[in-house]
Amino acid sequence: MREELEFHIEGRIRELVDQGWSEQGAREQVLDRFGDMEEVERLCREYDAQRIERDTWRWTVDGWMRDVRYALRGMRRNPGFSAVVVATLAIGIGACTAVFSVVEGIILRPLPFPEPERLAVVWQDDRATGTVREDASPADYFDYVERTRAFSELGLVASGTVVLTRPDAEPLRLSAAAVTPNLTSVLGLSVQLGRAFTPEENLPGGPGVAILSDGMWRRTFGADPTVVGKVVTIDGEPTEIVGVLETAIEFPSKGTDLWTPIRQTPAGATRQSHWVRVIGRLSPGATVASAQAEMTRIMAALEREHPEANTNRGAFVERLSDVGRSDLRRTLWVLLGAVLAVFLIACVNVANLLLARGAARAREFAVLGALGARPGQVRRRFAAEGLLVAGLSCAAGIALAAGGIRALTAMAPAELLVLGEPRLDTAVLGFALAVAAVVGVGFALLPTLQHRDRALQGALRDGRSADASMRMPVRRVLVAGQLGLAVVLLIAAGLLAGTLRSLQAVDPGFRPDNLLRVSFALPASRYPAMDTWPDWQEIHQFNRAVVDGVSSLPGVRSAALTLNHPLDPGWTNSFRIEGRPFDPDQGEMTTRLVSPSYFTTAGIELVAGRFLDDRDDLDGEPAIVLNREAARRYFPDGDALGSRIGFWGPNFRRIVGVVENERLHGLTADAPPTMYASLAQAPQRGGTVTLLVATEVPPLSLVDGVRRAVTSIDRDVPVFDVTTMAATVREASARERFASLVLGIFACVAVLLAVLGVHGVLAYLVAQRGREVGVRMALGATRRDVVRMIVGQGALMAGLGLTLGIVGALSLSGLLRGLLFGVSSTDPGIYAAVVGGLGLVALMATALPAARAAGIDPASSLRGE
Amino acid sequence: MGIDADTLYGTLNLLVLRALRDGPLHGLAVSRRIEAETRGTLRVEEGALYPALHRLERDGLLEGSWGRTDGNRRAKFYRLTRKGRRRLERESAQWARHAEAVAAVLGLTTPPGRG
Repeated sequence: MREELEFHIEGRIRELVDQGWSEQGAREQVLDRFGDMEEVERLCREYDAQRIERDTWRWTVDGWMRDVRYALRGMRRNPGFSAVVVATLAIGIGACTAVFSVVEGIILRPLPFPEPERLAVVWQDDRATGTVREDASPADYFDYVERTRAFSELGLVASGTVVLTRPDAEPLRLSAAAVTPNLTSVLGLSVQLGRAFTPEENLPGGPGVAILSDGMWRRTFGADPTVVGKVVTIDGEPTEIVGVLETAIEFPSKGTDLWTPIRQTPAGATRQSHWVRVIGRLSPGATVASAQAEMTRIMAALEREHPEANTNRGAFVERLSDVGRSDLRRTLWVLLGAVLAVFLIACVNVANLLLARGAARAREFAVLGALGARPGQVRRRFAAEGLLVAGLSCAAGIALAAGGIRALTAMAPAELLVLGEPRLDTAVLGFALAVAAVVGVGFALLPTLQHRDRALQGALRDGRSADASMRMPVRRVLVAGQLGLAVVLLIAAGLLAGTLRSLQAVDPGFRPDNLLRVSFALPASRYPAMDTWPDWQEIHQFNRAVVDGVSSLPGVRSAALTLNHPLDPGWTNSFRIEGRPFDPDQGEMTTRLVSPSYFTTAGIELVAGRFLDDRDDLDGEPAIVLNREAARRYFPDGDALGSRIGFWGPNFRRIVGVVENERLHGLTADAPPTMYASLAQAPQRGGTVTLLVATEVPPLSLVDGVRRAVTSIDRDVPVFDVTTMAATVREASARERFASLVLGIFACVAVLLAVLGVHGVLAYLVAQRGREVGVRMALGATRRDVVRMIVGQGALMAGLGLTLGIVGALSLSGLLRGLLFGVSSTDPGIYAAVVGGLGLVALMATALPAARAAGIDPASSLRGE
Repeated sequence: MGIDADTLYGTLNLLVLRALRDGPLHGLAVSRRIEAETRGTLRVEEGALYPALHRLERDGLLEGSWGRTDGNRRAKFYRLTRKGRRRLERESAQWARHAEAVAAVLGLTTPPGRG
């Protein structure tokens, strides 16, 4: 800088001297004209510093751009290789991202309420029957409210269905929730239109009011902004719409259309019937554990105070975000673990490919180094390649994930999607980017690790890869690890497939084939729900007309009504057996109300006595039929037939028959003790009735006829939930089917990739050691020896891999145990099949390289490469 | 006409760019060229010239490099970059329009063919 200014000053001085100035005078004149030299210099230095800073940044960016362009050129020169690498990684990233989106949507995504971690459900459990997660009775709820400190607020919700009748359209069956007015504040929700319920509206006999869900408001009311204040007919009652809930909120479950007041007060609350769900917000400082301890104390006190209703009943406090998810969590984590294992296998394959190519590129490194490239520049060149590969795979992977999410959503069981929809949101994209970043950094570092200085110089000296033999052990261990992961996945898939087979082999106790199932709901206005004997004539007439009408349709073998279809757990009742003292520890019996034709229609076999029939009506003696489990448990001496059982009031009912066990709690649980009573001898509280139709033709072809048969009796009765029992049975194993399908796909991909890995390493070995093989053969080794050597190498890798896999599978078997049915998590047959099969496949993968090695011509391989 | 004072590049900057339009010069030559071209009407503060050169270099309008003068002395030469040349063209045109506008306002008309 100073030199530049000095040059200027000197030049000017010479000018003046040439014009006749004295040297001294000229210098003074020039310096005077120049001004503050220090300041000028300072300014210039400042600008220079800024320029240099900017240029350094630009050089770095330019350098990276150059390296990325170089990497792109390299990829174009070698399109096959690049496509394999990018496609493998993209599929891996896509699959991981898709599965992660399911985990994120269902488990990780927080509930849409403020401070959702403070929300909990207070269930009851029953020590006599071993059930957990039962609803509470309203009277217990009011005692909770009075006594709790752990919860700042407790609300109630009870799900049900209502019928919306409209003057100019079909009746609509709606999913409704009866709630306490404080539920909005418990959940921290607000209404987007109108208001929440008032305490007065919650009193028995209060005005008919409803709050719509956002979805219902849009679907049925076309998002009408003036909907508040409108009066509609719900279950035959005029009902005023007072509000619309917050956007996207449907509570207690997806698809809830509206809320109505639950209309419970401490005065009229029952303790006998358990039908309300208690939702609470924890007080500041309280935890689920402290709330559990408190509720256990409260329930113990209530058990002492109300032994007639609360014997054996306890409390179970569960975080709201865990409800319905506790069983799924394990399935989903297993699937995510499986897809990550597949991805790891894919990464090993890609790493092996890159290592193989890297070895071939040792010369390129050496030349770059010899030409004076700093190690940093060489590293940057290869880092750019790694990042480019990662970036391309990530972009392609995200596109694949979008498709994968659609596929998974299509395959996933409904019970799963109700809890949250998987989608490509920021968390999921972040996951994809993080995975790609790890991969990118890994692959950017790989060549640098591979080519350290020693290797560099060696490569330049003899012009051959110095790497090959040096790094082979690492690659063999990687491949063995791959095989091990494939073994673990294959065993897991095998166990789940075994589970599915066991489930399909389960005899559900009824015949699901050719069995149509539809539901209808009777509007309470014209079918009054009377609990008193025998005032439910309108309902009985309707029921009889439906069964008669549907039975006479062509193609119908028989038709029956029931309040709970097979595999629907339904409800239980306490009971007493005539002539014995009441035993509080006997538990309750599942109660089914059916039409007499139920057993023949559903295909439930008779064990003893007779089925219910038309004699069992209002004029006949009250009759019930037990299932085999109830007869075994309560009448072990075989004296069930003719005995009498009392429930619902003073009447005893005579046991007229015993039928085969029909499964109610899914396919895996044994049938609980169950009693069947005729609808003609039982009060029926409106609500939903299921119609089962046994057909001689494909069941769904009769849907229109059945629907007409019902609406021809009463056109205001909506028919819904049309399906077959075969589909219901399939649904009961939907989660296992989903898990085994997805895991099966992953396992197949894993095996394919692992076998490719074995083959690739051996083929590379043969290619690299061709000279060695040639020497051996020249020294007298036979082709057989050569084949033995290569196959031996393969067998070593396979043996190591299979051992690793078995050890891994055994140590992880505990994770799977909860997902299995009818199969041990260490089932020796499945282990043996997987190990044998995979071992055979791995050995087959050695055949091709071995054959190539055997075909090596010693002479030409010795002459040189 | 749409010119406001902020869009006008500093006079000195413009003169420097213009001085370099025919080829690289060192700082001293730049100041001589400016003096010659303005026939002495605009005397450049030599103290201001060097900060201007370095700022233009920072902004990528000039590129500096050390070289030898005719007299074989080491000196820093400045050259217009492509970006600098574009800037010169744009600013010159704007200056001309500005000068015309000011002349019109002041009632000074320049007869065609002169000036």
